[in-house]
Amino acid sequence: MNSVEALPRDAKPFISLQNVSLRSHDTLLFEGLCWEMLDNQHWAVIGPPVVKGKLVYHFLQDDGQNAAPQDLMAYVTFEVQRRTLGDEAFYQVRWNSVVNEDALSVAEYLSERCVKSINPYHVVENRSDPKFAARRKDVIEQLELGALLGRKVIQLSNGERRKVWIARALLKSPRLLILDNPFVGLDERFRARLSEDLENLMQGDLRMLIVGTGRDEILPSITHVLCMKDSRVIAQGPRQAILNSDAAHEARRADRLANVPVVAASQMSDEHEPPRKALVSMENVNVSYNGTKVLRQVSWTVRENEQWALLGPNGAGKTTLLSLILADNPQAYANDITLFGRRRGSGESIWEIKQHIGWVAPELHLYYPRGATCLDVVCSGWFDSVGLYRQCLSDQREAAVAWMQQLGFSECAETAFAQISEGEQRLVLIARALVKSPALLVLDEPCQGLDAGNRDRVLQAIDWIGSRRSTSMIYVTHRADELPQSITHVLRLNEGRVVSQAPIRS
Amino acid sequence: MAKINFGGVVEDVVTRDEFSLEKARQVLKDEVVAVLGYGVQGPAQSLNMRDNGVNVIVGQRCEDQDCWEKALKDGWEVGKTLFTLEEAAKRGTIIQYLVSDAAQMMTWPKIKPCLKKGDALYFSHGFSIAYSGQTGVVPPDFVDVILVAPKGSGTSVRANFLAGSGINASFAVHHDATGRAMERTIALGIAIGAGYLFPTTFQNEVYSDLTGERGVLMGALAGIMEAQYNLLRKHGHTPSEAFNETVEELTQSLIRLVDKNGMDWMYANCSTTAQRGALDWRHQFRKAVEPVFDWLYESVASGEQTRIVLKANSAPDYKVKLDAELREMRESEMWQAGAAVRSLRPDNWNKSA
Repeated sequence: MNSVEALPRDAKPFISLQNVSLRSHDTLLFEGLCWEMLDNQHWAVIGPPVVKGKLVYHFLQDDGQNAAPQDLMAYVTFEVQRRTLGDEAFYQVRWNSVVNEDALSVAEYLSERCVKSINPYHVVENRSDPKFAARRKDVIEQLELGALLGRKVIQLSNGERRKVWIARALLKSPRLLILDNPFVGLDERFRARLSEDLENLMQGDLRMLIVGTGRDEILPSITHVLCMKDSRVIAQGPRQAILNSDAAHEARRADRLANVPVVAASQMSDEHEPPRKALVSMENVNVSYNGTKVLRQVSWTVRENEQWALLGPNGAGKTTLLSLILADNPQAYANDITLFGRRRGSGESIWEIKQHIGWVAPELHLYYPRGATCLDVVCSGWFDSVGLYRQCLSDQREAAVAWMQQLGFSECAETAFAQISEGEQRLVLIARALVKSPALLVLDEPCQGLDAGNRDRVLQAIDWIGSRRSTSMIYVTHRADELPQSITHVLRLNEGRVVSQAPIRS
Repeated sequence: MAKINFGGVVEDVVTRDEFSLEKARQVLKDEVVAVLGYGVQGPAQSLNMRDNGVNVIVGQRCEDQDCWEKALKDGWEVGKTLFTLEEAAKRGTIIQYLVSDAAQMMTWPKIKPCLKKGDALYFSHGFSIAYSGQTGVVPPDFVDVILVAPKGSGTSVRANFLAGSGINASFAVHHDATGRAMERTIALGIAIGAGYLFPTTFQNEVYSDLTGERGVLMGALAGIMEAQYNLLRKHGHTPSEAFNETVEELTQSLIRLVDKNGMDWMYANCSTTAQRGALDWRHQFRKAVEPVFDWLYESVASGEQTRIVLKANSAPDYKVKLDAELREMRESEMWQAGAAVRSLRPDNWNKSA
C-alpha cells in the first residue's frame, strides 16, 4: 500500500524550480534540479555533502518571482559570522572587561529595529509593527530566552547563541523558514527541545525547509524529503517513500549514539600505577559575571596521559572552564589554579602556558587575517598567535608540513586558508594545535559543523594522537558519537558545577 | 638598536627580537609595577604585563564604581593586587601614572609623598612633565622618570597582544636616577606588548601628539571637511552629494588605498582629470594652511594649549559644555547626513541575512 499522504486539493505551488543548476566559485552545488514545494508541505534536505542552505536561500531570493521574497523567508545558519561577533574582537578578547562594553546585547539583537534591519533614516510612515512586541514576548518565552536578554551576544555559549539566532528569524514572521543544520553543536536536551519547538512551529502557517546531515532525526511533521548525493538529487518525494528507499538509507547511514560508561571514583583501580604529574589542577574555582555565577566551586585535576571528555549541556560553563586553562581569562588570577606545575599569578607568562597547549575551537577560523596560507596557519601554532607574526625556522616549517601530510592535506600548503572548506579549515587548525607536540590538547567541539567525511578524518586523527599517549587531551562535545575512542575520563558540568568526574571503565 | 632608514633619515628602533620578553622579565623580576588608573590605557597595559609574568598591582579610586568593577572583573583582587591610588603607589617600585592628564595634576600632591628612592615614575604621555611649570608635577630627583607611549588605543594594545602580534610605541628617559632607567623603560615597553620602540623625548612626544590631534588627525580634518561641505551646500548641492564627495569617498575608499600603497600610488591610480587637479591644488592647500600650522606649533610650544586644556578640563561644568559642543556637531546637517549615508552603505544592505 502506498503511504503517501493525500494532498488537499487546494494545495498551491509555494516554490517551484525547473532544471536549475547552481555553482558557487568552483563547486557545483546543484545540477539539473527540478523541485516543487507546495504550500502545505515541510521539506527536509538530507545527504552528504552538506548542502549549504544559505545558497538555496540566496538562490530563491534572486528568483524574482515575488516582489520581495526576502520578506517571505528567513534563513538561519549556525556557522558563526564574523560580523556578528564584531570585526575587531579577537576570540580571546571576550574575557576582558575593556573590550566588551560596546558589544551588542541579546535584548538589542532581538529588538524590532535590529531584527527588521530598520534604517532610522529611511522616512516611511507606520513602519513599526504594533504586534511586534507581543510576538517578541511569545518567542522569548517559547525559547526561554528571558535570562539571556542582558547578556552580550559575543559572550553567549554556542547553544545559547543558537536559540537567539532562531528567535531572531522567527521575529521576522517568515512564511518559509530555512534552517541550515539546526542540530549541529547542540546537546541532547536542547536537541529534543528544539525538535519540539520546530514541531510546534510546523503546525502553524509557517513552512519549513530543514537542511541537514544524514544522521539527524527527520522531524515527524516533515512531509517530504529531498535526498542529495554530490550535486544531484537521488530521490525526492513524500517522506515515507523516501525514507524507506535505499538512497535514503545510504544517505542517512546514521551513526549510532554510543553510551559512555562511567564508574564512580571509588571503583577506580589504578593503585598499581604511580601517580602521574598534574598538568591542570584547580581548587574551588568560582567565576561570575554581573552577578551570574558561571562556575561554582569547580575542583578538577588533569594528569599526564589522561584523555578527558568535558561534557555538559549548552551554557554549563564548559567554555569558561577552558578559558581558564588556556590562560585567556583574567579571572584565573583571582582563583587557585595551577597549570603545568605553576600557580597562576606567580610570575608566569601566558605564552609559557600556551606553549604546553594545542587548542582548537569551532570559531577560531573566523579570526585569521585574510590572505594567510594554510601553511602560515599551521606555523602560527608555534607561537600561539592568530596570524603569523614571526619568522618560522626551517625545522618548524618542516614539522608543519609533516603534520599536514599526516592529516592528509599537504597539497593545500600554499592555498589561502579562507578559500578552503570549513571541514578542511578545521583540519588545518588541528594541525596548528599539534605542530609543537603539546603536552595538552584542548579540542572544543572539533567536529562541529563538519560533514561525515571530514568528521571521520578529524576523529581518526584524534584517535591516532590519543593512542600515542604522549599527549593529554580535553575534548568537548555534545555528541556521544563524536567522542574519540581514546577517552579515559569524563567530567560532567551543569550550571557551572561539577556533576561527576571519573575514569571510564575500559 | 636596529637602524632604519626613514626616507633618507636613519633612526634607531628597538625591536623585540633584540630585546626579548625573557630579557624584559629578567630586568623586571624584582619590581612591583603599580598601574595607577583603570580607565583606558591602565587595563590594557596592566593586563598585558601580568600576562607576560610581571608582578603587577593596580591602583584605582574606589569611588569610581565603574572602573573599580571593571578591575574586579579582570581578576584583580582587593587588598592583594587592587588598592587605592596612594596605597598602590607606596607598594610599587615602578609607578605607572596612567590617570588622565588633568587627574595627574590633581592627584600629584598625594602621589608624590608615596615615591621612594630608586622608584621609577612612568608615563604614557609627556604632558605632565613637559609642562611641569603648569601642572606642578615635578618628580623628586631620586626616582627615574620614564615614558612609553603606545601608538594605539588601550583596546588595540590589549587585542593585538592577545592575537600574538603587538603594537608600536615610543619611549623616553627624562631622568635617570638609578642608572637603570633605560633598561627599565625598554623592558616595560616590551612587557606591555610593544613590537617596535621608537626613541623620543617627553617634550617631542607631547608636542607632536598635541600638534597631530589638533592638526591633520582631528582638528584640521574636521575643519576642512566642514569648509568643503558648506561650500558645496552653498552652491546648491544636496546633503548626500556634499557628504559623499567630502567624507564618504575619503573614509570608505581613498584613505584605505593611501594606507596600503602611499599617496603617490593614489595619485597615479585616479582619473587623469582628478590627477591634474589634485597635483595642482595640493600646493595651494599646503601654502594656505602653513601659517595656521606655524601658529598651532607655536601655541603648543609656548604652553598656551596646555593652559587652555587645564583650565577647561578642571572647570566644574566641563562635561556639560563638552556634551553641548558634541551635540552641536552630531546634530549638524553635515553629520546627520553622514549618519544617513552610512546607513545606506553596501555593507549594511540586507543586514537581515
